[in-house]
Amino acid sequence: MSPEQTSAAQTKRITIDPITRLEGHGRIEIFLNDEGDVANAYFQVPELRGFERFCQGRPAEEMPVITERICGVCPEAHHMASTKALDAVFKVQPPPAAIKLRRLLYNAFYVADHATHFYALGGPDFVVGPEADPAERNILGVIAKVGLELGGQVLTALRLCHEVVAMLGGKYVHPTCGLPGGVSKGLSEEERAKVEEVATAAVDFGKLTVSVLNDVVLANKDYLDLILSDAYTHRTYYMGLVDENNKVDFYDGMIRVVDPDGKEFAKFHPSEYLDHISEHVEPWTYLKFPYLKRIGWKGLQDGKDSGIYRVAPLARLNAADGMATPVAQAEYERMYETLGGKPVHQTLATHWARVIELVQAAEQMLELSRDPEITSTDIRTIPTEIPEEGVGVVEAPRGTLFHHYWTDERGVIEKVNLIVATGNNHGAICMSIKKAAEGLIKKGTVITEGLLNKVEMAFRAYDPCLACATHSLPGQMPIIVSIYDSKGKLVEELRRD
Amino acid sequence: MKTLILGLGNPILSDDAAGLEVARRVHSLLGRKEIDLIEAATGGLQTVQLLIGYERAVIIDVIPDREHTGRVYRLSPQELGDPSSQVTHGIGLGQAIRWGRKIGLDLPRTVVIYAIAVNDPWTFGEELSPEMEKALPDIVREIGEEVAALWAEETDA
Repeated sequence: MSPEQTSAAQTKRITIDPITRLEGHGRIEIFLNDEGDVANAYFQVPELRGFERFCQGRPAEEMPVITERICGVCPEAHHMASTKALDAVFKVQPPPAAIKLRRLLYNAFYVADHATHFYALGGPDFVVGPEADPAERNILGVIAKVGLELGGQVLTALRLCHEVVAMLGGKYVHPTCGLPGGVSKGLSEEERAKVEEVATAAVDFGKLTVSVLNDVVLANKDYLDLILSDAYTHRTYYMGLVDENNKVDFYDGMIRVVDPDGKEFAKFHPSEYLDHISEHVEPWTYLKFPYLKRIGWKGLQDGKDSGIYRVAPLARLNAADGMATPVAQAEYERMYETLGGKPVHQTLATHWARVIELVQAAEQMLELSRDPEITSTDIRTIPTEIPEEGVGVVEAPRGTLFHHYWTDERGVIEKVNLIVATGNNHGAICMSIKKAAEGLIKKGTVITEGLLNKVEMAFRAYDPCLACATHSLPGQMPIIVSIYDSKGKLVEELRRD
Repeated sequence: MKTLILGLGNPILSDDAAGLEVARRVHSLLGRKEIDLIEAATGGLQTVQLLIGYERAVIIDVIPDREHTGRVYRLSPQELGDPSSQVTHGIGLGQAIRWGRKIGLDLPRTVVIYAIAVNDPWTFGEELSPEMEKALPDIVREIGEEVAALWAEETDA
């Protein structure tokens, strides 16, 4: 990746462009004005059509194994949202043990997913450094910095959690256990003991990750300044699922929205989402912009008067009154104390929030593995009602995920609506990229790879899933960043090979 | 020798499933009991975990290359590039294998990767495109014969 310099400093366009096996790619386009400052920045993803049509006419029960195929990264989140939508479509309440088994699987997935992001994706920027040689700014660079032993511990944690997902879900990475009214597979005592062992290790791994965050990231004043810098700050609304005590809940609960001052703005049942969320369309991108209906769409701007809201780890913590488990709660309090109280608007603090959530997921995993009911064989309520329409919502690691299905009286799919985490964050991602670009690229700035990486960091904090957003690709979609001059001429571009 | 044939692909994305189908057919063509077959739709970090415990592995995946539909490229893990930084999730298989080796995972001594050029891995569907269906028998024969020869060489050595 090496941006080419041109002599026409006043006429610049930057592109970050990846080349991978996937044809579709995300694109960040930065337009400069005559003075060489940032005039505008856009984030675009291509839409690959056909998903809704593919679903129509199929039995609704197939949806959990179909929708999990639209993303190679968070299939478990789609599987779970879809299964919950089926509960609603078939008007059936799963037995308590089935819900606990779903939660157990989901927490194991969360530990693996958050660990992957922290160590392999977001981590390299902070552990190796945002301006380090790109050849070292990756998981191998992280290991070189923190040691081989930790590298081994990370992979062991991922492997064990994937094994738990496979044990509970019936299949490696892509679960098949979700049924309307429950799950297809229970847990034997022998399996439970194994899960407890993994969960105990996961809690230790969570604590270890907190110390890595403290020692390597937070202890470095430059990194803390970067996290707190205005270039990565937006005052927005925040959304997340909360339990009956307003604590962070990944699997279920009410959707709570707080305003930029941290005051509760709305709290509603997931089935009422269409009363609260609308989607704005822009001509330059296929991906829509969800916004809060009551506030309205005011363009790509932050503040209390703009309906743009954010989801994902930091938003979940902002939208809740605390964490549901003790170690995570202590870290939650420390984060807000360090960063100046609630809500935290600094996008890069999402990485900290992600580590806190990793700890909660591990603690809940352990709690559930010791629950006497977890080995119950009462894991399915057989539906008896005529199916109709249903909404299922979970917190995907990247934010609130909505599945909404309409069926005929036989339970055959007629219509599907999905709002994925990256869709919810679309407006915020666009704003964050623009603000980071404005803060970092000024007249006369020499565009370096490290500088463009810092622009990308604004994007990367959201851990956006372009595959999910377009309902179409198997996971790792690349991104292009382009810089255009005031006449629209492409002057710089970042490509990846 | 503990051997794995690993097919990668999304089963509901038309030609993206070609790697899965070819892996199945090559496995059946070679017909040896000690060879395991795994089908998966996973990124690098998850894929490398599937390789643990095998002494050798063949990975079959696809690349979009409409003009050369049916062409087979043979690659080694060293030939898989490292994206210079990670913008979306996951890491590539090449990087994951290098990481795995570095931390001492029990990974296969030899990993051969076949990338099949396909026509349409973008449209939702459970069928391969007609162009791909037509090319399939030759691809299976080519990969099957080559793998058999490679393994015979290894055994002789």
